[in-house]
Amino acid sequence: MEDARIVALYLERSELAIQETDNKYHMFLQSIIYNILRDSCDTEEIVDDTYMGAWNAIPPTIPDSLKHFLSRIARNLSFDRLDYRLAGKRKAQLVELDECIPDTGRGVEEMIEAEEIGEVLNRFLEGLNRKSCAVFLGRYYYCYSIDELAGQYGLTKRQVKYMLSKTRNKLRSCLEQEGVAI
Amino acid sequence: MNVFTLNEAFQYVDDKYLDIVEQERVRKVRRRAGNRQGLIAACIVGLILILGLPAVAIAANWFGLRDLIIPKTHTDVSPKGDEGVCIGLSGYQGSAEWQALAEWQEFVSQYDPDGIIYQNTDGRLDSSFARYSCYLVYSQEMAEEIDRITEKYGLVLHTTSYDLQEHPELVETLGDFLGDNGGYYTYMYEDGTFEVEGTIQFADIGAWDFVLLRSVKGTFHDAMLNIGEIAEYQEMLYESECGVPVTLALGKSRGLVLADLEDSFVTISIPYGTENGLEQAHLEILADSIDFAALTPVVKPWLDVTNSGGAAGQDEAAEDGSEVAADYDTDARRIYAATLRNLLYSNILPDGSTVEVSTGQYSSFAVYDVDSDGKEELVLLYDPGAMVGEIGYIIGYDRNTGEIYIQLERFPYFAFLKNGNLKALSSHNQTYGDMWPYSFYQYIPESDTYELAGYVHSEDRRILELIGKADQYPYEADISKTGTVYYVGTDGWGTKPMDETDYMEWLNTNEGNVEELEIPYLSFTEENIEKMECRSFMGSGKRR
Repeated sequence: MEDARIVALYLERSELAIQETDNKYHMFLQSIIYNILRDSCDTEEIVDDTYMGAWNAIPPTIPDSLKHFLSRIARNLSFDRLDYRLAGKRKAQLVELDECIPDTGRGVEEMIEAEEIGEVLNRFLEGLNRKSCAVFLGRYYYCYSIDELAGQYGLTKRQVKYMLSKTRNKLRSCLEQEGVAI
Repeated sequence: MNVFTLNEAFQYVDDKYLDIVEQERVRKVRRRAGNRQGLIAACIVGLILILGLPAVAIAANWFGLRDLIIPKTHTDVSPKGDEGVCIGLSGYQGSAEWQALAEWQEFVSQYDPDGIIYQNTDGRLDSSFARYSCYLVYSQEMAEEIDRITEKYGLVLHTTSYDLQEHPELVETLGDFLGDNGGYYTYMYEDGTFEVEGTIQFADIGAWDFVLLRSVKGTFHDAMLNIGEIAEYQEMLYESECGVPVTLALGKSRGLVLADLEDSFVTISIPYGTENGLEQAHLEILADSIDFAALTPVVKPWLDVTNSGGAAGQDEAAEDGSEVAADYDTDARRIYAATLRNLLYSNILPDGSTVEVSTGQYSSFAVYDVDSDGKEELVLLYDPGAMVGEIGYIIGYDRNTGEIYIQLERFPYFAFLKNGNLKALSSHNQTYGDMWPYSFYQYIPESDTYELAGYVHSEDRRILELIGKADQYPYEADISKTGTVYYVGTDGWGTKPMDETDYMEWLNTNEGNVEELEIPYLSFTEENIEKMECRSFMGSGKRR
């Protein structure tokens, strides 16, 4: 079923919305969640929670892209679950991303909320070529492994690592230029 | 800000960037499906599906969808339980293209049904199969059969597949044939056969995606589509707004628009049908929105491989940053082509040594003025599939002797700088720094060679902290407090940490703080070698 129709079902508060969402996006959500949690039981649970999240959010929200809207919910819920599960340990992607945080040595000068940083991220992504953008988001949004990214984009693992390394350095510079400080 | 905030910020990434993740992936999968191994795997799956179709008598024909059906040749039920019929996408029954495809499918359905012959190839084929790289051909018998069939029907084989995302100029010459339907370009073959994806906005049911394939006549094109049950389709003839007669076919889960043009066959497919709310009127709107007249006559694509892939202004730059023109040297290109063919067909590397595997899946080459001396070099990245055998060559041509010479031989992982210097990147990054370790080479114009200036790697405080080795970080060397120290060695990897300021000074002194060139590498195929070689005859003289 087309996304607009599924969203209409949510707006009508028809439970068919969940069923149609499941028909269309179960595999997609499963893959995002599993990439983050690497646990089948938790994955299924979070898939269900994602549907519930969508049910609670639509309305009032009317997403432009249902797919990406669901992916955001799934991602957030997965990282929440991961926080709970790891209690202090960090996932590899976060360790890598840590490199992007500018170390100005100035301490906390300014608190920028995630939404504002998201805007910086969007400006940063605009400047990347398509392949770098895809690999970067594949790694840090969808949390694919280096192996998986290499397979998906026809690159060697080494190329993926180098590409990510260069992109992280660029992001770090970009965040510095935008005045984002720790 | 901390890393958790940054991670959280990713939820605000715009949809259009998330779309790119998928689009690029689809593109890569498709492109890989165009290569031999990908094709083999994809086609075996397709073969299984086809073999699994139950025998169904084809009902009385009328001009349309039924005339595209490729006869079933086997009655096994597929493991997935898929049912339906497959149609060819290159022409109606009676055409040479359809007959060749039907005959080929008949052969394929009986040949290697369980995939054992393919498995025995172990994913490796020798260079004699290069000319079948656009098809599922993995044995001598298959090669002979496809040659026999194409000769019988007077067809030729596809030779080259271009990635239209990298070369949109190839399809843009067709003008605005997609109207307002946007379009995501996928691939084009050397004869002008191509596929694009588009989205059409219907006033009543919203935006729907479709795929348009133009299959050029005269070439054997083995694309097929499983359309499900033929009996479910309603068909009608319709004259589109541009005056081209088309067949509209609407099924429960798919809609099709078919146009049999003078020199090509066009198929537009929407993966939705009546059960999704699609009606015949929608197919009419879709047909009207496409300018079929712009798709004929077919003009074969011409790709200027020497300028492809790199952005404007990235061609060459002299040491002072001013751009210089590179000579197209006909003789050099002939010798470069011979060097490449030596490897492709005889497994001989540029240094004269021989290797077990010819080019492997990921080998590539480029002819480009990488050292900014005004002459083109051959960059050959040999990747046989195992890291241990990978070698990269930068090769120059001596006009006086008519011979090539190796300017540098290293692991095939180069970052060429615009001033001619280069970073030879290491095969692994096993350091505690995010910066990829490299050996820095300066270009020596007098000898047209490279000279090693230093081995460079870095160490990040954060990484050491994260792995619980914070005490190993040389805080005293990090005078600028950047969180990163650098090591530069001349006889080997450096052991004395440097502050970032000192590293940048070293880099500036050695002219290493310069933007990288984007090198337009080409996959290692005969077609690309041919194009590189032929370009010399068409583009003699200076680039600008």
